[in-house]
Amino acid sequence: MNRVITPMRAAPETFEAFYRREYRAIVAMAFALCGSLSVAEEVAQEAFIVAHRRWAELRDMEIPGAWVRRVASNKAVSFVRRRRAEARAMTRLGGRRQPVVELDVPDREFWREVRRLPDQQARAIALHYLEDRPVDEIAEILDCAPSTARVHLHRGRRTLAERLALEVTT
Amino acid sequence: MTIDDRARKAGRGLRKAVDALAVPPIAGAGIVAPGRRVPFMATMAQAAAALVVIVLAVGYFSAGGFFAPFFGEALTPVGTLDTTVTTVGVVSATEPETSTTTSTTPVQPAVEKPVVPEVPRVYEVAILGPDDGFETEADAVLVHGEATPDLHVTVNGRVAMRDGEGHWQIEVKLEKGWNTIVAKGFLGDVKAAKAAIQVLHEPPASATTLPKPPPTEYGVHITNPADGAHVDGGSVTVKGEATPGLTVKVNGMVATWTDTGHWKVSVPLVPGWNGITAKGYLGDTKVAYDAIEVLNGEPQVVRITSPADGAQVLEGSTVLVTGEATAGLTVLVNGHGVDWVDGTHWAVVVPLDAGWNAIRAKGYQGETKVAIDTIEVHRGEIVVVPFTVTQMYGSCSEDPPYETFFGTATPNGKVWVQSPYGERTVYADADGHFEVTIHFEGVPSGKTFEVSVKDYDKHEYRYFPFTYTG
Repeated sequence: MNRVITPMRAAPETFEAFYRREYRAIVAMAFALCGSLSVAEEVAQEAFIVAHRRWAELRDMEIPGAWVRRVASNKAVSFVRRRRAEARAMTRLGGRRQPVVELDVPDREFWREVRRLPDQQARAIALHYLEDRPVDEIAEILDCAPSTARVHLHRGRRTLAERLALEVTT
Repeated sequence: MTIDDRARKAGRGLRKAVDALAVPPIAGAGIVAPGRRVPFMATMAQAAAALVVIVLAVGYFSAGGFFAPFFGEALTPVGTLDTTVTTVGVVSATEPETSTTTSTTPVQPAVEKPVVPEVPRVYEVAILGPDDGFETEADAVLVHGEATPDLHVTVNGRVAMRDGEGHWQIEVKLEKGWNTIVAKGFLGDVKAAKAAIQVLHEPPASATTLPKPPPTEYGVHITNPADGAHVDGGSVTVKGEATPGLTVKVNGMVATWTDTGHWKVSVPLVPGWNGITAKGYLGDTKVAYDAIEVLNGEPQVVRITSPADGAQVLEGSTVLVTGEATAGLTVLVNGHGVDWVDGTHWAVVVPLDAGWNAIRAKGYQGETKVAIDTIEVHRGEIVVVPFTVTQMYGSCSEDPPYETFFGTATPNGKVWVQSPYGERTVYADADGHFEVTIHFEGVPSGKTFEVSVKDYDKHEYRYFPFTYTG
């Protein structure tokens, strides 16, 4: 199976530049999937730590951003499944003021519904609508065939339309 | 407004909100957890001073994992100190792997080399067809999907045929009314993923029709506990939402309504993983469904670390298998007891047959199997036999017509012949040779159709036309 992804940036680059360029996008994607900014930041940082330790391999790849997204989305979905990281984060953060994402009500409602979708559908929706990624790149990040990614996207979109009482686009 | 418009707006909203976030500074390895941001060292003198502290602290941190104070258990694999992942701004942030500080320091950590964290393995099962809510007059439906390749898939309790790339399919018989089709992916004996759809079967001749609610009209949703949650105790209170008017049963027990649209029920648990299924009934008809699984007790782990999955053993008839497990478990590998290297690492020599061998490490707590890991290794060199298929030409005119194919495929591998009028599976012999005859049932006279022959292991197909002339 020949999967193609558009390089997001010419490699190699320094880890710091990569980190600064991608950090917010990874946090946003993790937030879309787990719904907690503190956890999203932690998930992003965990993903970047893994990336840092393997930077010698990753920096020569054309798709280090996709790799980190896969790690981060796995961790975020894992959080949603397990709900354990939240407990750890809350314990660790103690009385620290919790960070919040300033979203208006419809957007918050939309991402809440995204998190109710099956994992792969939620990932596909987040990558498509948050990062404007085409199906081929979504497939690369989800590690599946483009046709499968298209199905996930279609089903996620259809379910969201039903739940949010919106028209389905084709 | 369309879903596309709404989704794009939500995407823009989230991007804008996150753009306001500060990017935490990098410290050496160097990303610092929220609320734990550590400034870069201002001078090399400060760095050297810090290094002394670090050396003294190695004993402490190596015991608990350096990042443990920042990241908790999530990063325990990072555990021990690493010169390239040193600390507190000692290593250059822009050149993390070429720090002159680390190269000139006398630090030669006696601690073991840290384990590079792997991308977490996520196991997935997806039903790609039919769609959820699919309606059919047929009393059976071909269900197909994808799963993580090392999973085996069951659909409503029956093992689905799959190929080496994780595609699977199976025909499922349908009862009149709504049918729930649940695909589960198993890693060895452990369920690792699940997907479900509902399909409506309405026989064409039926004079009486069931109520035909679309699946989205009625809903049941388990809100607590979360899917995959860890719980302790003999029972758990399950809470959820449902369309008012439905009767909700959870694992067969009727839930009580706490207020409009919300219900709860206490469900008894057994040790280990427990399935919790909430079904919504309109009268006697099941119209909605949700399911989760919870783990009663702490997760137990067994992992094979060597050899690698898919490895070839070219010499000898045994292989040394090493691995790790949660302390306190009894580990058996293909039925053999293991030798413990320390409290969590084990090793055992396992005899191999020629060809592919499954190696299963099972962890037991008492007599209860609580964890499993499986790999496959190949004794001897893997001989690649090309996939070739020849159509022998059977009978186009007999009733039923039949066709014979022969050729070569993966030795001992599965060969699958499929057509709209029947399918058959055979296995190639040890040299890769196969021959299969398939009869086509119910073919209309004069009908031309396509027959596919697939090498399951190679995921290769060959296609042949067939015309029934009878």
